[in-house]
Amino acid sequence: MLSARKISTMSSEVLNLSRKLLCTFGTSPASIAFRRSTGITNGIKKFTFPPNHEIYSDFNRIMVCSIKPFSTKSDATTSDAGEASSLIDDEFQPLDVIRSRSFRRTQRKRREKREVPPPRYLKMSTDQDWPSVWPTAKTFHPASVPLPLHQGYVEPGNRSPPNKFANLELMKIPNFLHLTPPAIKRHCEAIKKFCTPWPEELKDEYVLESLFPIEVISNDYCHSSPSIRDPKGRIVTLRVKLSHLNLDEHAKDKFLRLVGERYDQNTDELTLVTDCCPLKKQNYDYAMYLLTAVYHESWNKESWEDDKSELDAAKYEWDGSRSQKVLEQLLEPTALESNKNLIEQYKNTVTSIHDEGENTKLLSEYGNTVRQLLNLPTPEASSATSS
Amino acid sequence: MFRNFHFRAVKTFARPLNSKKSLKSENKLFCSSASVTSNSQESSGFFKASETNPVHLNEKHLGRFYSIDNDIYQKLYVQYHGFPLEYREQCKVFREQCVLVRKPYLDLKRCVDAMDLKKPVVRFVLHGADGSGKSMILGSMAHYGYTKEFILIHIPWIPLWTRYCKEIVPSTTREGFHDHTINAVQFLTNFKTQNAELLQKLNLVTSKEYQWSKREVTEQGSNLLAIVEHGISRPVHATECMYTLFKELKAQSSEEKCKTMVLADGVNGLFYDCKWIKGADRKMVPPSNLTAYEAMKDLFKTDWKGGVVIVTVDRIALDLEFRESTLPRYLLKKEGWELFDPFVPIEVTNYTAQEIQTTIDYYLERKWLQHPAASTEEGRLELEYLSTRNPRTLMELCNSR
Repeated sequence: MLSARKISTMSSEVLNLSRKLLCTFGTSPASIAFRRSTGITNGIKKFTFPPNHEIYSDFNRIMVCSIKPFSTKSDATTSDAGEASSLIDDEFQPLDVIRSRSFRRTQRKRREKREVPPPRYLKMSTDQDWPSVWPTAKTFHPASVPLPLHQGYVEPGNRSPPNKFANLELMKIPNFLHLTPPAIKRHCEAIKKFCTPWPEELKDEYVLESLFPIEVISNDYCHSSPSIRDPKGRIVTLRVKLSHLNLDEHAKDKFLRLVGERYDQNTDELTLVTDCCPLKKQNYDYAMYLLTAVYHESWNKESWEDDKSELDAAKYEWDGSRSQKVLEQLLEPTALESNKNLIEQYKNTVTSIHDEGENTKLLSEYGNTVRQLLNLPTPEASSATSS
Repeated sequence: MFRNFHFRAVKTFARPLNSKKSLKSENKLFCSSASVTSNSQESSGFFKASETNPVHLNEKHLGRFYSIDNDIYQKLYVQYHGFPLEYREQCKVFREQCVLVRKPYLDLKRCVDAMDLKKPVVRFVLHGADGSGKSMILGSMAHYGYTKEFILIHIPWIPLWTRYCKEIVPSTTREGFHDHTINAVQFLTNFKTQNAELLQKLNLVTSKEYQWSKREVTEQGSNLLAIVEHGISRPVHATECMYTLFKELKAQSSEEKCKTMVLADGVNGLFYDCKWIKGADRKMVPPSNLTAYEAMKDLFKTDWKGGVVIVTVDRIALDLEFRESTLPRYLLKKEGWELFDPFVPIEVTNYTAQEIQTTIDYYLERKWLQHPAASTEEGRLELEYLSTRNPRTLMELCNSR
């Protein structure tokens, strides 16, 4: 009861004070405090203190005695206490400087979640027509390929490579998902009507090669791009076996020197690749021209070709070589006569050592032949006699 | 685990410190090997052949060590790289000179035995991997030739004449040619040590008069050693003396007055340009303009009788860019091959399983290998694997350094 009375007396005091102030300034005490703090008052000392209850009394004391009264709109204000309290609630909105949590929660907008449909491959049936799912070449798409693919590098350990979703490694490599066997089969079926049967007579490889010794290879490129031309389409490769050309020993030697590394010894094939002209037709003509020119040039014999020395020879010639001379000098004529087989063997080994390159087996063969020619014991025979 | 330990070389022998006797023996140990070897305890064991005469070595001794008599060793090998340096150092430590009798050696020896000295010379070319023992076999043949009373023309390690050559001077007698001076003197000195006795005994005399300069003449009919002596005393003429000596020996051997054995290690070096050999104009001298090279190449020709030529081809004799193969055609090039053709190639392979065990046994017996694990089965296997049965690699593995 006591506290209640105190409060009631306090409130009545406050009301009295406010009423006095209203009489003086024609406005509420809080607004006066505001004015003072901003220094708008004229002739009034500046005070800064919080607008709490105590200052009102102080303020009352100071202001009433020192300030001259001046006319205000006091006539318009009501003197009713109940109306004054409702006026405070309306005008002074709470200033939320630190932005309390409840305030923030109301400000944020929730982004709407979009519904992601399940990947398409989950709905695919096992007997679907794959070529119609993936009809042409395109970048890999994880949702339409029903395969548990993994691709990419991970640190060695227990983890597996990343799966197919958002996997750049799978997207950047070209795939052949449009070239499944049934798809190719279907393509072939579709273009079959444009083809004619292969001639019966040419089914034999040997006949084919003898009738068409020259093989010409060129490529056509199809793109889904604005231009139908591809610079690689101009390149023409011409292949011919050397055995099909009519060449004698000199001509063949010269031919091989002229073509250089375009000749493959293992397959006996000459390969000419022409790409210096802009068109395929021109390159083809140039390749044919080259073949003709090289062929006829190799048959020509120039005067300077007689100066060819032993060093220039493509292959080692034992007959007339220094090796033969030394051997004839070493062995007596009778020995030369009787050992014809051995000398033949010696010649072959020396030739192959020079031409094909030496190895341990060839060298031991060579050594054995020399030992027999010079009447020296061979290592095998000597070890046999000792044991 | 075993590999991490180092095999310690036995340089000091374990001994009780206070014993006076051992101190005495220690003094002996650190004397020069020459004086000590006679009364040092020589190795013995199943791996050691009792034979010391190389003439009598045969298949019974295959894969065993035979020792070279110290006097002969000092005469033939010590002065001028007769054996590789590493081996000679090891001999010093072991205080004996033991050489493994290997198959290529016996093969070579048998061929030299069977050779007809009345026919033109036969050339033998040893080839094989690096460090497989070519130089050792060539050196052993010098011992054999010495015993068989061959006059030895022993040119150990041709790179000493090519990239490690000492001094090159323009020739006084030949236009455009250059001579080795110090190398030739070294060779002649070595030749004298190796063959002086035999030359005195055979009493070989010069066939004509040699005019070295205005006042220096070797008379006709003087001993061949006079040429050698002159070469040693006049380094400028040394190469010329060498060439003359070779020509004389070739002629005398063809006349069956003597037998000559030519031994050269790493001959393929003679067929390559050497950028270190420069003339007075600071330009490289081509191999064809060096008197010493010509002299050596002259020896390898077949225009003489009564001798034998044994050479090795070694890729280490060449510069780094020419070391692709160890086979003679590659190393000799066409020029060298044609000089030697027809020759008898003899391949020197790495150790066999038996030979490597014998060598390890020998090292153990000499206390060269001291690690306790070295004698075990595991240790031996490890050594075999690590060395890949290569003689030089094994030697390096067992060295302390």
